[in-house]
Amino acid sequence: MAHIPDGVLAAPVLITGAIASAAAVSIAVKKLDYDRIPQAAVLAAAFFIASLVTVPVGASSVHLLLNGLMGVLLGWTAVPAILVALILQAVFFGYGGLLVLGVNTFNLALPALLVGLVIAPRLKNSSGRQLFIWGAVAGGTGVCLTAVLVSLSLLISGPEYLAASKVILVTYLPLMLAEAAVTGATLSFLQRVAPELLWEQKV
Amino acid sequence: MKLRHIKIRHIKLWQLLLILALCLSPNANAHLLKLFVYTEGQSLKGSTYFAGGSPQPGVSISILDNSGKSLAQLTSNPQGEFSYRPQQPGEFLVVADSNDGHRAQWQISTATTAPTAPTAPTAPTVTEKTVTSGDTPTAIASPQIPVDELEQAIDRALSRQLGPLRLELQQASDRARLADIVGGIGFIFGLAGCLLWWRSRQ
Repeated sequence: MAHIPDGVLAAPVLITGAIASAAAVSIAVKKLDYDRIPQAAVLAAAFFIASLVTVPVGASSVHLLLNGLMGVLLGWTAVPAILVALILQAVFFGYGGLLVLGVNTFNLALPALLVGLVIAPRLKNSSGRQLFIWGAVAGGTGVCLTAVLVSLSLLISGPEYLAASKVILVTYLPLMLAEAAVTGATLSFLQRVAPELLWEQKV
Repeated sequence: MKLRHIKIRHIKLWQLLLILALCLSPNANAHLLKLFVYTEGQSLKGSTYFAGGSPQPGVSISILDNSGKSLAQLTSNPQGEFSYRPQQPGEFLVVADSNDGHRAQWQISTATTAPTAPTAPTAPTVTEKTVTSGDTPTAIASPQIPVDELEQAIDRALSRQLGPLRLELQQASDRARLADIVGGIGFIFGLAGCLLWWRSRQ
């Protein structure tokens, strides 16, 4: 439910989200590290596809977000990568509206940035189990913060979404565990096959 | 030592693949709420479902008229279906809201199917007559049945038959197609390629 459709959120939330995302994208473009573009493209493609693989949880359904992984591996470059993938999801699959793009980008990119700032520097000196745990923390935090931001966007738009916000927070709990496992496993795998991806982190 | 290292790597990869395989549930329903409405005579009939097919019960349905005034509030039944019979024909906007941030709407008009006031009680007898009077094609043009009544009966029968068909068509086109997926990935890599090319020129 990270894709909020059109017609749900109130105008002030939409405008705030759009401005915040525009600001984040412009900073990210200034800081753009061209060496990271291939990784950004691969991760954006993975993010784009991940939305198709949904698992029913109760009345709702969830899918991997991968924003924690993107934040750790890409830093600021994650912001334009998420934006591009979200635009394509909206256009091709109809997930999330185009007007809500700003809010949706912000809800996914802010956790990615925070994870990139806080956890990415710790990956350099860790290995084995420790690296897996940091990866799991990154993945779980990304999902958790996104769930909180989505719930807040809905709540600020209308108090009638209180029940919906609770549903989102509950359905995101199992997703958090899955995302933690996937992010941890991916980082462990990357460390063996391409450790330079973890060291070159620039935020 | 080397062997063990390879083994560990394989286990990790295997675990990763297992997690991904678990995520690929066959009846994976994308979480895009869909609404489909069709007319049957003067009634609006519709269903709510998630893109990919699974019906969504308990969705609140609002029916609005041309001026945006709410005419009725319904809830979809366990099969995700609902029906409503408006007082008079016209343009309607049907809005489905699953109350968890999913929302869909559908514009429909009943004016084209039957401009006159509904004449439901006579309808069954009309169909009965055409059926029982059997094989002779002249029975259809029988003077006892007014032409507009006959037309309405045919309309009703047709929309009863075509409604589910149109729903199936709609659902088929809702499914994310392989072309979309491949196109999206291609777009992303094309964009990355453009950026790198731009960089290499500088």
